[in-house]
Amino acid sequence: MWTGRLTSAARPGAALGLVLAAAAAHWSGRAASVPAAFDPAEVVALIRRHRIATLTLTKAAGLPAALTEAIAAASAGQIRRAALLALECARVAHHLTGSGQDFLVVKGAPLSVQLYGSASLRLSRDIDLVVPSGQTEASTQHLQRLGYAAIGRDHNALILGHAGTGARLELHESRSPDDFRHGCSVDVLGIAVPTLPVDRAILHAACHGSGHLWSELAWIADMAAAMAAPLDWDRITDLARGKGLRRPLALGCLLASELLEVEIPPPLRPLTDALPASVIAGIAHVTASPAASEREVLAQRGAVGMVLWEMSLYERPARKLALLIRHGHPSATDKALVTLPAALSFLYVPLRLARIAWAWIARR
Amino acid sequence: MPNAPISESSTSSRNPALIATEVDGEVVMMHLDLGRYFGLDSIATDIWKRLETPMTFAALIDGLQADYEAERAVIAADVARLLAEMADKGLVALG
Repeated sequence: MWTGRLTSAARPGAALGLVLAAAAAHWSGRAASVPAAFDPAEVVALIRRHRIATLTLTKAAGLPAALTEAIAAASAGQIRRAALLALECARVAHHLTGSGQDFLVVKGAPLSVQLYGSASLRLSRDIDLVVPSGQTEASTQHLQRLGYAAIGRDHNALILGHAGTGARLELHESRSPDDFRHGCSVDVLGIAVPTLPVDRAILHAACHGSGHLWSELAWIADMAAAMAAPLDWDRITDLARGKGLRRPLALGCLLASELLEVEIPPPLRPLTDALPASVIAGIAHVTASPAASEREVLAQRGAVGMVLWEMSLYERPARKLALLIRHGHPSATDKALVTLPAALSFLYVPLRLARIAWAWIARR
Repeated sequence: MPNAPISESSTSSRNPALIATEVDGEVVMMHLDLGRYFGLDSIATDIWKRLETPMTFAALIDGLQADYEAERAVIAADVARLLAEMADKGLVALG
């Protein structure tokens, strides 16, 4: 229900409104009310862009048959890829477990099972593997034996690809030993896959969605799925308080409530009520027409503004600092600007900071 | 090594090294050790589902005959060919 809590956001247009209503039917069971005038091609494109086809391809969604067929055709590749990734996730977990490796699969197929009850309802694009600090090399060797090869780096993750299956895997080192102490196992297609327990997985999803400016409805749908599930929200709220993550959690839940019509669980309401207007204003783009990608939103607002906004979400100084370090880490663009010898590679950091500062000055 | 001819008493079972999921009504599976995907068409998907528990060729054909409008001999010939193909690819074991 559009209550206007997202005061800085525009009311969704006809196409996005229909997309939201069709997705919301997944939880409410109420068929979408189809407007008299809308652009079917825009609806299809939005559903594909936001990776929510599986939520809208049901009778409950109430979309016209021709539109449902068009969505199915446009999203068939995404749906098939997610199913194959679920299989690949199970295979990787099977072998890593067999080799005695410590690891967790975050998001992806295990989260899909935890939130939707099915391994491939959530349309993942890659596999996110977290290993204990210092274990990247050993894990990479195991993954190489499974046919993976390193293809690049993204912030703190090593990116690996599998030539045979086309799967992409991001290998992250854990920053919190807590993750492994509290890990659990989820059945993905008959294979036990180690992952975060659902309360921690929800906080992780909230931070991930916030970090990407909630620019895809798939991430907001995850929050809706969590809110609709019979979970212990007192416990989740306590955990968020303890970790200083109340705002990312509240923001994700507010979005899910406003856009996908899922009621906010009572223990969460004080958190959503306490969200400052400046934090809510940071996600005004979610209802923009035409839809804005994360890159476009960053370009519009500038990196400094977005980093400051993201820092305002976190309560712990250590987390704010980690965020600064992550954004201060040299990007591929920085390295493409000038080639420095390995001994001078530390100069990429001031180069990046200078680029960010220049962009900020230029905007002002 | 080629599989022995399939008889009415031959038993068919799924390869336990495979994990499977369904996409748009058709089964997609992966071999855990080989890391290879396999896709089944709708008929093969139906047979795969019936093999959730191992069964004799005769029982499989009886079940299919009850659901498809075709002569038993025609179904048996088609399914024998399909099972042999699936066995060649390591998807099912024939005993």
